[in-house]
Amino acid sequence: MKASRNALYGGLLLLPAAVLLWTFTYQPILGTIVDSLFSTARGKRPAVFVGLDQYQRMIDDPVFWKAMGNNLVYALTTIPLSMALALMMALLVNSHLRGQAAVRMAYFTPTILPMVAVANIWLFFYAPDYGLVDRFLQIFGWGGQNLLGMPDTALGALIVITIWKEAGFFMIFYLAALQQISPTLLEAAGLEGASYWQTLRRVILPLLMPTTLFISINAVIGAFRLVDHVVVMTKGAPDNATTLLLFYIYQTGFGYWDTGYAAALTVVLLLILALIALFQFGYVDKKVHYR
Amino acid sequence: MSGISVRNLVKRWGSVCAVDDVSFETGSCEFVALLGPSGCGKSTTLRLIAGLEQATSGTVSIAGRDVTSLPSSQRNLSMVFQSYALFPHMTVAENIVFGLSVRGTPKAERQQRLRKIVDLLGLSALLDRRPSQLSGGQQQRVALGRALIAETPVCLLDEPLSNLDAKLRAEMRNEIRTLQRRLRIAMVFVTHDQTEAMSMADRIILMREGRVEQSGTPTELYEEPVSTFAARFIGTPPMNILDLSPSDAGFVVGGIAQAPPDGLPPGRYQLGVRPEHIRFSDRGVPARVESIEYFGADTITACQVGNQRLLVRTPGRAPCAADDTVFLSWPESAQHFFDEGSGLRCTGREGAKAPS
Ligand SMILES: Nc1ncnc2c1ncn2[C@@H]1O[C@H](COP(=O)(O)OP(=O)(O)OP(=O)(O)O)[C@@H](O)[C@H]1O
Ligand SMILES: [Mg+2]
Repeated sequence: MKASRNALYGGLLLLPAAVLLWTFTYQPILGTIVDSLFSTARGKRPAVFVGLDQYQRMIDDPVFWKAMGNNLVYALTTIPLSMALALMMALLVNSHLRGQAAVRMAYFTPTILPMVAVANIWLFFYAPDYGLVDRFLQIFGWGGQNLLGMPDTALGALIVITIWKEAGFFMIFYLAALQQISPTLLEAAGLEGASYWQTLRRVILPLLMPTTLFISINAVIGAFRLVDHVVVMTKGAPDNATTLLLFYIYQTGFGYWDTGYAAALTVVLLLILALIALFQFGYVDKKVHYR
Repeated sequence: MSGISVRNLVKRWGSVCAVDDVSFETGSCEFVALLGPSGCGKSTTLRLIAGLEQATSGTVSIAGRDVTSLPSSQRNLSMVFQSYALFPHMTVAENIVFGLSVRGTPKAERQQRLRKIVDLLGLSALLDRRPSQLSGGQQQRVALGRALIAETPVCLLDEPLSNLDAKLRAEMRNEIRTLQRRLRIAMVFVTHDQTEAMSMADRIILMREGRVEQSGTPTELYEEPVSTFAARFIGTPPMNILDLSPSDAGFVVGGIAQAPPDGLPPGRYQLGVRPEHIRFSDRGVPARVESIEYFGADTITACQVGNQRLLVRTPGRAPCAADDTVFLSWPESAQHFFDEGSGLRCTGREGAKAPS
């Protein structure tokens, strides 16, 4: 009697969260998977079951592969660079320099701004001839370029913005982790004769590994999720040079209203994220927690 | 001179003076205890010697070399931290050889020294464990191993036993002392536990509010405390300090005259008698028994003499019960006189002086 009543209370307590999760996470995922197996309804033609046709179409779609390639480049550059920058800033800000509060604030500011605002600010920075970046490049005689308009530089320009924005956010996590490291450990390392670099490599970095894992998960998700700047600045132009996977999904789904294909693309994106998360939690996680 | 020599060491933080003009020297294989109540500057003194803190003024020399301005890594010493400061992500073996490996000692030598130290400390079975998988005593041994493998002539220990339970503490006391003798190194050991200092140290440096109150062998501190502070700090229970009322007959406790040392000038004094030197007898100072604490081997009886309290320590069981009236006596040689104002020891012949 007692046990079943407990189960009832437990179930009731879980219900609100379960309803929210189901409505906004699981049900949409299942819905998307189902939708991806149907054709897109157009006019009087209803959606019909087409099996894996949408996925077949994806394999033959050059824009999809372009978006995948872009996203790979984007992830492989923004993740390590923003994390390295975050670590360096955190180490700098954690040392007992004068005016460190102001520096911390400055590093963190980009994070508080919404990405849409950031993108608009950087549109001005990147403006040819009078933008801040172009002015700077003029010093070296490379002025007059529309960095966002050329296929070779457009993705790079977006990558810079992302790093600029994400590094400050990641820095906060690194800073918190650094302050968790007992100063006695660092004193002990120093007393044993370790130089700053040895202490960094053999004591500080290993102790930061759990944080690094956490940040890397966030960074991976961010690399596939942040597309506000693409929408504001380039809309995938020029020649799909800045089309990222999520932007392509958005474009397909809400630009061309090809919802069936967009659903299939979404399933692929979910699959990629799930695989990465599985690797990070299942494999890396076991290696970085010492306690 | 191959030990540590500390001269006029001062450490200030703003208006706080944690270490105030401390000077002492240690021999090359001496075991020195820095003893004192909480906040008296023991840790700060040790950290100044280690180079973890910058001295405001004064000098520290190790083995005849002035190291005052050198970083801790170049002072050729090792240290065991109170919290052990073991690296949580390294195994026991990696922790112990950390210093050797960052200093670039060849691998073969590292292994050989590791084996030696591990045998010495009985850690052989634990080499692949992480610190979190060890007991407090084992962690303590690893920390000791990391300090000793460097084979430095000086080893500093900051309350290394304070995290251990009473039994383990007694064991480790012995172990550390034996190691120090076997390795013939100088050890400076911080503690606030006088039993620990008395039982382990060749010499005790008793500190009070940033200054050295008394420095000497455990016997000297026990037999000739330079002040009421030192007298009250050493011994379990500590020395009884009684106010003396001057009278025609000299100094009086509980109506009974006490013989002062020869030539003590008139003034206000206090009398110190250790609890273990007091006996119950047929005559002497009358007292009323307040309470009795029985410990098996001995008994501590609290007595009221006039309006002053006094502890008596007798072997075995006490020959009296609470509320009894008893007579207490002690040999003249067990009496210590202190100046009431300054708290300093008075020996009579030369007036107040510290034993040299
Ligand atoms: N970083 C610091 N800044 C300011 N004051 C300090 C600092 N470190 C220590 N002190 C002060 O210096 C005094 C001596 O401190 P210390 O740590 O040496 O005491 P201790 O004898 O080791 O005491 P305990 O037995 O409690 O460890 C204390 O009054 C303490 O408040
Ligand atoms: Mg201390």
